[in-house]
Amino acid sequence: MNSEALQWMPLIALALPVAALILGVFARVRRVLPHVLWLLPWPAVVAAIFGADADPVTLVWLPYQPTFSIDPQGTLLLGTSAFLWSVAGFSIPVFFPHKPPGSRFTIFWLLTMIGSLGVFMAADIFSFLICYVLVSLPAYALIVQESSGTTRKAGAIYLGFALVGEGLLIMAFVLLTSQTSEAGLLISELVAGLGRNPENQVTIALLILGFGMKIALVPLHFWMPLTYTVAPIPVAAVLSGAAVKAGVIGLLRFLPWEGGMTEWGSLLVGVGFFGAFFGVIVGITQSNPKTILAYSSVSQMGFLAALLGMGLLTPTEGIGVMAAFYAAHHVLLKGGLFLAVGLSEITNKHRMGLILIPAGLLGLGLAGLPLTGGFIAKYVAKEPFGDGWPALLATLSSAGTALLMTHFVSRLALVEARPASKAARLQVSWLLIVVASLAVPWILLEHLGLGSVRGAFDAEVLWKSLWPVLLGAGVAVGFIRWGGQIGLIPGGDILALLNPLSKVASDMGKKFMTGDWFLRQWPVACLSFLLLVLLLAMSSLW
Amino acid sequence: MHDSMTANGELLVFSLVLPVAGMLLAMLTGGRHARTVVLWMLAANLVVVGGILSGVWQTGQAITYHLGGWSPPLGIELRADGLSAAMMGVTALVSLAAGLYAPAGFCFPKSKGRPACETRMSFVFWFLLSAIVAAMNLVFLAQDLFSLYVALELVAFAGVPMVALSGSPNTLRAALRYLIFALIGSIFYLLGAVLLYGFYGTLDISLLAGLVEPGPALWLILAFMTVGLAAKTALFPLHIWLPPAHAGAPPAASALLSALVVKASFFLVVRLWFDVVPGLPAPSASQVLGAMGAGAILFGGVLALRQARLKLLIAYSTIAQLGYLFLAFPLAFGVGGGFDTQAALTGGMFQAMAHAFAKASMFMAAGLIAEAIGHDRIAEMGGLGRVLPVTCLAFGIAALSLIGVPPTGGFAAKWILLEAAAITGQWWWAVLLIVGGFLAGGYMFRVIVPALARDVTPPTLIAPVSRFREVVVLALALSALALGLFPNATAELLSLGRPPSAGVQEP
Repeated sequence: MNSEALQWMPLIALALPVAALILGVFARVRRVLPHVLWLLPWPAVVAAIFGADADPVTLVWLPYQPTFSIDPQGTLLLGTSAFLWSVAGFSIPVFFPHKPPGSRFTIFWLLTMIGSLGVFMAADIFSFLICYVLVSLPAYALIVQESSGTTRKAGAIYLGFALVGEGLLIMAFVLLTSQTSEAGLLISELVAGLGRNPENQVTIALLILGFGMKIALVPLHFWMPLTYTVAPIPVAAVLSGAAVKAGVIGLLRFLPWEGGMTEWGSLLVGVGFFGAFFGVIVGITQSNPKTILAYSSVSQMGFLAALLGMGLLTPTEGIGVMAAFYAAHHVLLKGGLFLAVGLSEITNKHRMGLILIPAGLLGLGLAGLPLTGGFIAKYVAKEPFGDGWPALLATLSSAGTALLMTHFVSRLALVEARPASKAARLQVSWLLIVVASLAVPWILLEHLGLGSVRGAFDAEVLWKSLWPVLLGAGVAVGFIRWGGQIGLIPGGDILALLNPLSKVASDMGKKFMTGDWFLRQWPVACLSFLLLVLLLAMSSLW
Repeated sequence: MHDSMTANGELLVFSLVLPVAGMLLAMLTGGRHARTVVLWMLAANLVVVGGILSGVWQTGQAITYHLGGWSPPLGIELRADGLSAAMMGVTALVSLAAGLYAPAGFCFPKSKGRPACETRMSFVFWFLLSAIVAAMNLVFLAQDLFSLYVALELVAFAGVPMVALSGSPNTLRAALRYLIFALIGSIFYLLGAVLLYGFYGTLDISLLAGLVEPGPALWLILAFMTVGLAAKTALFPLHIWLPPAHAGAPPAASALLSALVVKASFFLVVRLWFDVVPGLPAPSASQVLGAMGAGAILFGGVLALRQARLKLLIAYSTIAQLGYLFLAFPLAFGVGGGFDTQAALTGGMFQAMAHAFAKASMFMAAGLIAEAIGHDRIAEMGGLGRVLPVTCLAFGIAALSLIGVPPTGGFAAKWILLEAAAITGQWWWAVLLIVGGFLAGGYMFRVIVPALARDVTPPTLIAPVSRFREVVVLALALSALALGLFPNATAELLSLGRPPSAGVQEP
């Protein structure tokens, strides 16, 4: 294929889901859609494989003239995310055994998927924003599938976070576009001089806050355990795997990587490592496997933030691809672990080994167990940490991950099984994603020039990756055996500290009501007329 | 100073004569045919306004017409610049939608029992609808402060009875309160206009713009006129008449009142500040106006969060959304200076247009919901999306625009205002815009979230909902969305035919 044709790959990737969404107005199409959901992301997988590094394509005939391109960072996340969307979509019927999820679920699934895939390819600020909104807001309807109090509360908190995060980002984007009136709307042009101008500190702060909320940087993380706990398994899988990476790609695209960001870099490293350990510590007190996985995501995203912070401190060649590589592995792995939770719910006790062993392999892979895909991901991600204390913290966080994942597997073994129909669909999904998460990093390692397979097989490298896993797993076994403090910290941890705020808010609301009543009194109303005239007239005299 | 008359000037006259003719004809034919007559008139009005719009767009200049061939200050000038043309377009679309939506017999549910149809009410509604269109068009076209005063009174005369259409004691009380506020507002405006005439001997806007001199007298005049108009626009803290009035009227009337009527007086404030005294008031005065807008956004938002009734929630949201309009003033004449005032004005007018479509759609959707389930208590609307999917979709799209979610019209408006805040360095208005968006998200999702609930038994429908009326509501919501898809074209339209002097000079 020539590059002319490859340019159109981003559109091909999105065409099928968008067409499905539009044709969804016909009831007949709507009835078919749930059965083909798994098929719709496949063009995006193809686009990720073949369309990388083609020229950007601009759709001049559309409003806002969106521009799309697939760069190396985007490719990794696009391909893995699309694969996860397909696999999770295939497993949906298993989780809605009694009644099908309904056309509303399908429509919102499609909307979220379009946003999730589009955000990796959007090259201009408006299409990025629109994709980002799509990957955040419609997911609410996927998360809240029942009206119980906890679900509604989790949904409301998710929505609040999504709205606040978007508000911060919109402000950041406005600042970006208004500082240079002549530049176009391409992200790469807008962020070109971001690091050099000291006036841009506010913009960078808004960007880090906004995207930090999406990737659940501590202390902006507590929506994540609440949300993943109540969401249905396929939804939790795509949210934790694919949707969260919208925040990662946002940081990669918008932060200035040319250096000189010492303060912000240190901040990200500090906050990131804090989150990496915080997630582990709170996670091991949880009993629900889904909540544990959510805290593992908090921890992993913290690690990723620390990695990006190192990149801000000292400009590193290829930091974007390294981070995307690590994140892409997390897409497959976290998706796979959530499907494992789903599978454990429908598998008999005597066959649980068939789930627990691969799940353990995946989980310890996340900590860098040699020969797994996670080992390669850690191998790639270790360079930016150098040799000093950041490297030590990174290694310790691997031990923490091993600890948390061992705890996860031990809780997984306790899940009550109930029979389900169509279980084969889930088993196929699970098998595919396990294989992918183990193999894909190996396949891509040399292809992307991030390192050599031979180099990874060095004895020292293997040992350096193995001992944290052994340490973490060992501590975990001891912890489970002797000191388990299950339920010590409620899911959503610091949310409990915010409860007094709701009383303050309610009091404020009452004050406003009283104020409205006061203003409604006729003498007050007449007086306000005159006072306003005086105020306006006087203010001009100053 | 005055442009001579331009081609197509007669269209401006048509846009005034048509609704008046419709009004008179409806009176002749009586209640039974009033609907047909007025609907045809609204369709014709849309065509005429379309002609004006395309005329302004193609020539890139304002369309002018001198009544009787007399040029100002002796004669009366009608002038359609980009602002007028755009607002006339919105008025034509929303009023036609309201006409199509209003049920044939104009029945509405009484508090108990079956819906009641009364020919008197039906007749009055169509009569008032034509009157509002005529009055709004005059507000957008008139170029002297006296004609504008007449237009403003016409708007109030048509708006107040709209509130009291059902005749129940509560709505009468609300209408009376509205009337008194409108009256005080008119007196304040008139006082200012008389003083201006006394000082400068003319009421023509473009002549005044060349004559006015900064000074305490002018500030007092401006303060009187602005406060009077603010009262009619229900700007905080003079907003208190609006919620009972807008929530008590029949849905089609609420839509007209919230979407259009309050914008008339806002439009006059714009004419006053941007055209009569362009750039003269001190920045602190515009900050005061912005502070009132801020109060509206916060107050309206918090109170909307606490309403139990859907229509009251929407009414309080109107108060909040009107607050955004007044942020255009500090952003245009604010501390920074040197910024293109037209951009801030564009943001404010964009908000006025997007809000008109979204709010009209929302009030009408609320009306459909109330008719279908027999009440408008938000707490009992769980699962509504399953029984009224199209209505809820329209409501949802309109809500997204009010919150400012991309790519809706509300988002485009907020983006422009945020940009103005960023460039002029007035970060406090930017914070306010963002906070206002959160509040809007809060009160809108209070309705949308339960409507999406899956495992709740939806309310039972006591009456079927007409698919046609649902489509009208959806079309309005989609208009709010479409506005956001073409922000550049809309912004360009709003800037056509504007006086180049409307910029504040670099200090």
